[in-house]
Formats: sequence, C-alpha cells, structure tokens
Amino acid sequence: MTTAQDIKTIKKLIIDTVKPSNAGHITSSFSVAEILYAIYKVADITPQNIADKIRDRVIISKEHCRLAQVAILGYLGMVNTEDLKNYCKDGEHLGHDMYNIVCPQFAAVDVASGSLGHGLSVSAGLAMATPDKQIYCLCGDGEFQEGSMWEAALFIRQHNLKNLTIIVDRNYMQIDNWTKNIIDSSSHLKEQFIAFGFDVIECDGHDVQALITSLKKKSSKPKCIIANTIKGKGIEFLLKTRGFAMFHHSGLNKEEFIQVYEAIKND
Amino acid sequence: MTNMEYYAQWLSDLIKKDKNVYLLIIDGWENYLFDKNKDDMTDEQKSRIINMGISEQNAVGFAAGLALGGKKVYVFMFAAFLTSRAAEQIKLDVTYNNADVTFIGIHGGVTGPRIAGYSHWALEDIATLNGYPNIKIFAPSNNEQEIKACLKYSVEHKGPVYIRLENPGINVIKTEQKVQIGKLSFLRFHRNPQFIIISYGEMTNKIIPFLEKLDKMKYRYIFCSAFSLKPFDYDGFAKILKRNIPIIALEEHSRYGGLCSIVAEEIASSNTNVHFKSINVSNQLFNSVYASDSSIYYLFNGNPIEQILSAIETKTNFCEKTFRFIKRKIDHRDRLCICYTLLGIPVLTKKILKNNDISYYVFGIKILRKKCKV
Repeated sequence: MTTAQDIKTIKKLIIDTVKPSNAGHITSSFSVAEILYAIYKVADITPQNIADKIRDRVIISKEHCRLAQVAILGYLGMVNTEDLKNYCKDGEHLGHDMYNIVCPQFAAVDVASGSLGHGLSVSAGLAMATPDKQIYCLCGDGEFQEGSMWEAALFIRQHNLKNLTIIVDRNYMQIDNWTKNIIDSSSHLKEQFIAFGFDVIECDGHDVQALITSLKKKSSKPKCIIANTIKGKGIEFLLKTRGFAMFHHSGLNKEEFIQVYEAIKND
Repeated sequence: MTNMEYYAQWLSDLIKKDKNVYLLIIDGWENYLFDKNKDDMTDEQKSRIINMGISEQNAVGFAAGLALGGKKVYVFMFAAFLTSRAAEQIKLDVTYNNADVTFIGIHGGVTGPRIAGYSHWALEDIATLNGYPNIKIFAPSNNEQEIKACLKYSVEHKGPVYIRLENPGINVIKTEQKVQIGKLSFLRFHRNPQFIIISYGEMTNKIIPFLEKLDKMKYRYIFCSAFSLKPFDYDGFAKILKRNIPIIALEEHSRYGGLCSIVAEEIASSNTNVHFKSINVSNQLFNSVYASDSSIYYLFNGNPIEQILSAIETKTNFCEKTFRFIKRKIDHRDRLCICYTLLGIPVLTKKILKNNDISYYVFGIKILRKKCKV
C-alpha cells in the first residue's frame, strides 16, 4: 500500500472513530495525520515494546490531535481498532485526555497533556531520563503563546537534549481565528528557534517523505521541525460553513459526514 | 543543624547512594544549600543535581518527564511558587500520571523570608494539593522523627509526595518520639482532658511554650500532631472525637482546605456536638504587616493563650462557670464527687479524692443552690 493510500485509510479511520459519539477534533487531526504517520514510521515503537518504560516516545503536546494518534496507533496495530469505536463515549477511557495508569490497554499513548504548554517540559524530562532513546514532541503553533513552552525550549538548549525532536504543526490557526489576528506565534517560529540555538528544519507537513527525511537527519543540537500544514487538510470547506470555533472542535451532521468521506476518497 | 541543612544533607546522601535519584532546585537554593555537600561528590552525582533556573512550570513538567522515564525525582523550591505558579503542571503532569516526584516546598505558611514579604508565603498550598489525586501531603515540624518518617516514606513510595518545610532556618530537634505516617502523633496526653489541640508543622513546636503556661494553670488536654495530612488518621481522630470535648485546630494556612477544614468536616459528619475552634490565617487578618513572629501575629492576633482559652470557655456551662469561680476546672470525677456530696455520703467523695479537701465541693454546691433560688 502506498503512503497516500495509508493516509487516506487513516483519515477514514479518524472519521469512523468520531462517528459513534460525534465528538472529536477532526480538523486538528487532519492537520497532523501525515506528521504522526511519519513519526511512527521513524520511531522504534512496535506492538511488542509498547508496554516498556524505556523506549522511544511520542508526546502529543497539542492534545486535541489525540484522535489522529489513536487512529494511527489503531492502523499500526498498537491499539485495538474495536476500542476506537468507544472514542469519547459515556463510561469509556478513550478520549481527549488519557492516562496510561488508568487504562493500560492504551500503553502506546505516552503522556496525557490535555492542557496546552505541558508536553515540551515533560518531553525534556523523558529525554534526559532516557538519553539513548528518541523523544518526539508534537506541538501546535498556537501553543507557543504559552510561556512554559519557551521555558522548556531554553532548558532543552541549555542541556543540549539532542535526542529530543520538536515537531511544530504550523497551520497558522487557533480556535478563534488565524494566529496573526490574535497573537502571532506562528510566523517567526523559525527565527525564534534558530535564536534559541536549535537545529531548525522547515518542511511541508503533508509530505510524508520530507517529514521522514527531516526526522532522520542527525544533528549535534536539539532539533525543531517546523511542518507547514493546513488545518483540516482536504475538508477546508467546513471552515466556510462553520466558522473558526466550530471548525476546530465540533462534530458533523449527516450531510457533512457524507461530504467528508467523499473528500477523503477524492483527495 | 537547621531544618534546611538537614534536608540538604539527607538529599545529598540519597544522591550518593541511589543512581536513579535526581534533584531539581530552583534558582536561589543551590549554592546556599548544596555547595557544602557537593565536595565529596563525583561528577556524575553532581550532574544529577540540576538547577532549573527561574522556571517553576518547566521544572515541574521536567520532573514529571524524568519520573515517567523511570527516575526518582526530588524538587526543592518555594512552596508558594510551586503550588501556585506550577499548580497545573503538578495536577496534570505529576498527579494524574502518578509520577514518582517528591516536592519539598520551602517557606510553607507565614514563614517566608522577611526580606521578601508575603508574596513568598504559602497559605493555600495544602488546600491546592488536597484537590489533586494520588499525591501524599506531609507537613513535619522540626522534630527529627517526623522529618525522617516523611523522607523515608518518599523513598519507598512510588508516586507524588509533597513535604511542606516551613521555617528552614530553625534547628532540628532530636527526639525519641515514635511517629508513623498516616497516624496522629500524641505529644501530650493528660488524663481526663478538657480539650484537644491538633496542629502540624512548625506550629507544634511554636505552641509548646504557651502550652507550658496552660500546664501551670492546671489545664488538662490532648495535644497531637497531624503532620500526615494526606493520608490523614481518620480512625485516630474519630477516637478522640468520641471524648466530646472542645477541639482546637491550629495551622499556618488559610482557613479553607487545610487541617481546619479536615477536622471541621469530620466533626460535621460525626454525630457529636463538639465545640470546634479553628485558629489559622483568616482572610480578614491578612495584611502586609511585617511581624517579628508572623505566625503568632497572624494566627493568634498576638495572644495564643487567650485564643485557646476562649475556645474552651464557650463550651463551659453554668455549673462549670460556678466552679471556675473557685478556680477549679470540672471533670467527670468532680461530677461524681458532687453527686456523692449531694446524696450525703461524703465518705465516698473522700475516697475518690484521697485526703484532698472536699470543702470546695460543698462551697460550690452552696453557690449553685443560691444561684438556682435567684
């Protein structure tokens, strides 16, 4: 199966996961589908080692793309796809925030960080605790409005945590509007991270091959990959009909489900 | 050895002993505390003491990451900044993930350095942390046994622990007193007590000189330390609650969410009619006064004895007031004596009192009768 087909299947799985409860951040998940797919291709995480404490880790700092993560883990056989049907359902563990200590069947999901601005510090700790393992931290561009992200960035460079890779999903959008219309934490990320002393790579966030090349690149400094993406890639038409906030976190109606499935098919 | 030096020494020894232990310090404490202890450390051991700079949120998140990566982490910083500024990091990264992190919060209560003022006080640290799951909360005094018990527990326990260190500059007191995590430790236990004082942290030592004054005034009471706030000794407390005597809870904390709240909740949910007085830093009293002893100023309005006695007096009934007139406190033994005297069998009263003078009982009854007639 080609990569493009894989992504299509994953996107379909994302919608299938959302459908029973009609709750989940679909557009954020479409923004990072290729990024997460590339990370799991590169990272040494397999169904055999998911229960290990010492292994490569994928920290989702922008928790609302948890949906994409569980769908990809389901696709890769690290989470039972039957469980995905329970996403955000009453009385179920699987949802926006997940804690491995409460639900060990989702051991592949590393750290819960439902609130923004947490994942990078936690990743730094994991990077120092397991220096021979790779830690991947997926952040959002809007998330860099949080001060704790910059505290963590300063610390990571100070201690030169080379085994930590930050991947920024730069879609220039936050819940209410474009970031440039609220606080522009997106446009100057490259210059900012260079000034902080990171090895910065900018690439297309929907190009799996470019992402894999960037992730595999060896560096003597901590790495920051700025992945330019489109929020809700392939289903951007929803922005017009729903407006910014509902585009971010709303469920879909019957017609929209049909439109979205169609869009994935034709993408 | 001061409180702070004791903790520093203990942590340094732990770092030397256990390769898995990391110590994170916030700016301001490293050379103050650990320079001395670093002399005989190897470079590897030194590298496990990390100065996190001025970034509490990152420090706590980082600690959670280290712990989730299999390390045992100690975080040493101001209680005020730890529990307020990094509260969400403690909640989400540490407690929800049950990460093996022990926080040592310095300057808990109103013991913040005078040079810094009340921004450095932590009056709501216990209340904040009490709301989070998995975390254990301890507030030992400068009694060595209590400190040891808490630190030992933090090593054995796999999960978040908060140890409140109040005034770091006072000396550690060596005692033989046995203490146990999750149990009240009784420091005074008089027979036929008239009231109970429950406290924790430095307040347990601070109040002792005042209790000695109460001793001289022939008051009988139970004085216990609840340094283990979570887990709290609910069973032990239920036992003393059965005595049905006034309870006074003292703490260097806001009146909400600390020991006073725990005690009040227990009393309210029991079937007793116990009088309860909470002595703490009330919101009304809070202002920016620099007092030479902040806890006495803020908690007791300057007069601990008066505050404690006021709590007991509200409970005393008419009969007891009469006996106060003859400067004698009344207890169940006294009541028995009164009954015997009234029944006209003073021989039995004499037996109970063992050669003590019974005249004041007779005198007391006379006054009672007079008052009743009026």
